[in-house]
Amino acid sequence: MARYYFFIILMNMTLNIILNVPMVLVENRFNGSIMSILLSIPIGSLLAYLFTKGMSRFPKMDLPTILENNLPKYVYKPFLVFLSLMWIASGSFALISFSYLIKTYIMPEASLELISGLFVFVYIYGAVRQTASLLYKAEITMVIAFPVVLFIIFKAMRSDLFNYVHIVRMIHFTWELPNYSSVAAATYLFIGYINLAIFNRYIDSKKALRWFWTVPILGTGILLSSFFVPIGFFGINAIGDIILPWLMSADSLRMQFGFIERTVFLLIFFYVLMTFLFGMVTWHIGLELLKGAVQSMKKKTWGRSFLLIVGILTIIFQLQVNHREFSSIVKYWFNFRFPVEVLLVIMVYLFSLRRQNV
Amino acid sequence: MKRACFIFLLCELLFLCTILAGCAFRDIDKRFFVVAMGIDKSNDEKRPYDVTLKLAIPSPEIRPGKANFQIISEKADSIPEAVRVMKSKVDKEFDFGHCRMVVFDEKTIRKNQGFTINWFLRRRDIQGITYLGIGKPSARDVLKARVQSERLPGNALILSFDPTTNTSPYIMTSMLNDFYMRVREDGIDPYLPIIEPIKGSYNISKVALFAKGTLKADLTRDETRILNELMSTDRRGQINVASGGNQLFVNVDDLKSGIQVMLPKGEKPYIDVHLDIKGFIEGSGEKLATDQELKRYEKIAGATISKRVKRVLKTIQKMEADPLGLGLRYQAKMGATEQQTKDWERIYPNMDIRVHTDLKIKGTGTMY
Repeated sequence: MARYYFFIILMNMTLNIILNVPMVLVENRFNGSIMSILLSIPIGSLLAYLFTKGMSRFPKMDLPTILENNLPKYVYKPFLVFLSLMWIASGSFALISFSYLIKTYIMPEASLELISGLFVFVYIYGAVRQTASLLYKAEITMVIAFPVVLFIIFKAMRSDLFNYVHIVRMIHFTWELPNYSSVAAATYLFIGYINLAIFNRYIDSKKALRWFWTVPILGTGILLSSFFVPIGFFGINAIGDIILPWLMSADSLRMQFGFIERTVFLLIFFYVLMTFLFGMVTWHIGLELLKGAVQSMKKKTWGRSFLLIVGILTIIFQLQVNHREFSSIVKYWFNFRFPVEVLLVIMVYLFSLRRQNV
Repeated sequence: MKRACFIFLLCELLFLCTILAGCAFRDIDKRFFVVAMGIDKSNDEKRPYDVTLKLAIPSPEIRPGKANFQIISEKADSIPEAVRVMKSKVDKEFDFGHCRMVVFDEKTIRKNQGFTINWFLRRRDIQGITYLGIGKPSARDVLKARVQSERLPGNALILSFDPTTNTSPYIMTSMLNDFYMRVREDGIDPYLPIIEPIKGSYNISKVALFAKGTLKADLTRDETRILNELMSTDRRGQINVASGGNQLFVNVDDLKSGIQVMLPKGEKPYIDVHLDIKGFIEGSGEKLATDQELKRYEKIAGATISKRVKRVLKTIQKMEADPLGLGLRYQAKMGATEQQTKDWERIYPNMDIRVHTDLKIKGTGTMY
């Protein structure tokens, strides 16, 4: 089952091409974004490697069990609840940004609550499935969607309107000091591995390590195209005027011979699929981690009502903030998430070392 | 168990019905498709924007020349305001999803292009691949023109600007997103094709160049063609190379242009243009039997093309316009800060232009 590890990683990387990560990178493009991208590739890969290596010493075990064996009760239970909330938050943020996107591009007449409400239902439906069936779903979705995304990247780079000159101009800003929020955002692309926290029950992480070298390569390619392709279309100044640079770039493309002329609709369609998958995976893991901390969550009704409450809270949160406020909250969340990720990875790795000594 | 399932399904169906009714979607017959927009400057100072919409009227049969449309226009102080007022003139809701053509008149687009096109960029339903152009004598006259071969309303202009249907090298294509990039970046200037309605069709063969944020001047037809070839688009055509007494036409198969800004130390900076042309001869006054003759003509024709390209580039340079993005190439070499932009403005008007053409005549068609 080792290949599912890569599908999950790929899902995370591809989804963040258009959602919040490029927003942060583009904003800091003159203040060290490129350096941060270059830094985040080794950092992200190293974290991924350590975590996978650590988990591979606990075959068929998930994070709640590992923590239970290594930490006192009053430490690991709150920590698990906290982690579960982090996971659920990442799914909710994807939901909110994507429903804004759908509202602007596809259904301007429908209300935001309706769109995000439909998303919540699909999320909950997926999140309460069994872990294994989510992995199958990940494979199916990625096998369908990833080639299309690759095709669009390829088409963008071959377009007449794509100017390599702009990219060369941008590269002049490489030697700036990297900044923390860009690093925190860029490493988010690599974070797919962390879902091993639960998926380790099914995924043989030792086998996955054998193909680990694909992760930095994929990450480099996707991160660079996520940042540079819109710049190739709009140049280094105009790119700062655009909220979703990737969608505007896809809108500059035209499929002369396709049955839909507007490429952006194709892109959105496949990203809807991926957002569904991402939300299901994150909420599922959030729920599973919570089950490790709170016994009563193992009951079906409790788990489902928890997710329902989370969904309602997400919609309420979306109604309370406008798009600008939401973006700045996401930026804070990126900054906050990075140390938590590092902490978790180091923790698991240290536990795994101890296990070997025993 | 089966019964429970059935009841559940029934409930679900009922639930879906409620969604169907209230999803706030408008049917296609309750929409008016805008196929082209024209923006003119009006004489009224308080309401400077004269916006014209070309609305498609669907017809049961699609036949050439039978495309039906309706033209409505309104003066207002801004484009969104005009569109809003115009909604009261029609019975249905406007849909801009098929608006692939926006025509301006010279006076509106002369200054402040970024502000004028802002509405089009901000609307999500207007595509980034919308074609832009300048209408002469006015945008409304372009929209009003009835094209004889048109099968769908407003389609003729879109087809002429689409390089897959029309490969004429005289037509320059300008798209909304690209135009915006050119307006916003220092070191590259926008351009717009000029559309003139003639009887039963359009004539699009010239281009208007912008420099430093204002509309500068038009290029002539031949200058337009050469500029288009330098932009390395897919548009191909014949090149007429008169040499001596002989008129020679080369049909271009493949044209590659390499443009570089050269900054040698201690020398005057120059623009280096390298053209690689491959083609067949389509017409010649003389018989071209031997290889030597072909080679001789290759050389003569190459020199003629170089001279012509150089002349066009000089004209553009004199206007201080930069549609080829030479300034960007300079920045790519030197860095993209404000200092470089200033330097470039100083350097560009005095630059030398060196053109080198590699013409390869692959054959002479069916005759010697």
